[in-house]
Amino acid sequence: MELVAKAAVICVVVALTALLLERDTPELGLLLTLAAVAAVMTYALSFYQQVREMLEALMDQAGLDSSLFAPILKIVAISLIARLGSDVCKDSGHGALASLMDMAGTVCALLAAQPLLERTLALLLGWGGQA
Amino acid sequence: MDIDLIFKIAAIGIIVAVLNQLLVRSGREEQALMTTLAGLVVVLMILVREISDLFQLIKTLFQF
Repeated sequence: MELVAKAAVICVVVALTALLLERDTPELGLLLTLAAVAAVMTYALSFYQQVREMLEALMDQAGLDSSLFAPILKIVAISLIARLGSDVCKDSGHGALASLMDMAGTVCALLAAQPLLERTLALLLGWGGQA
Repeated sequence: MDIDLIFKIAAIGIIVAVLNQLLVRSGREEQALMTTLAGLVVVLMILVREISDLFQLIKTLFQF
């Protein structure tokens, strides 16, 4: 709750200041937005360790291998970075760069999901062999 | 949370904007451009380190 309140206050104050700066120096307004992104994201991710511990305990209870879970975490990180990068590009008025960033994120996510896809395929082929 | 960083960048931005206006009004457009560029470089130098730290944190947290 504290995190949301702090993030909301900071984002609103930064948005107002960025609007003020964009009148004369639009590039500094964008950099201010980037600074807020870095600060708030670092703060939010400092709480993520607890969530990860809980997820790992769940995986242990379910008896699943951690190698199955690692690609999912990677894809979450890739989507976070791609989404933020794309939105910052959109804010600066560069739609083409934003689309490119989205595409790069999609390709990276597919690459990260490759081990999972391969294992699913192997499982399906195994079932096919048994039948 | 590193709020000092945000305030620092906002302060630099406001100072650069004021200087820019002053120099443009007094007819020194080239110097105004140089001031804006200097401010941009200073803020970029601060921010690049911060973003690199953020990426490093993401790498460790998400097991890259």
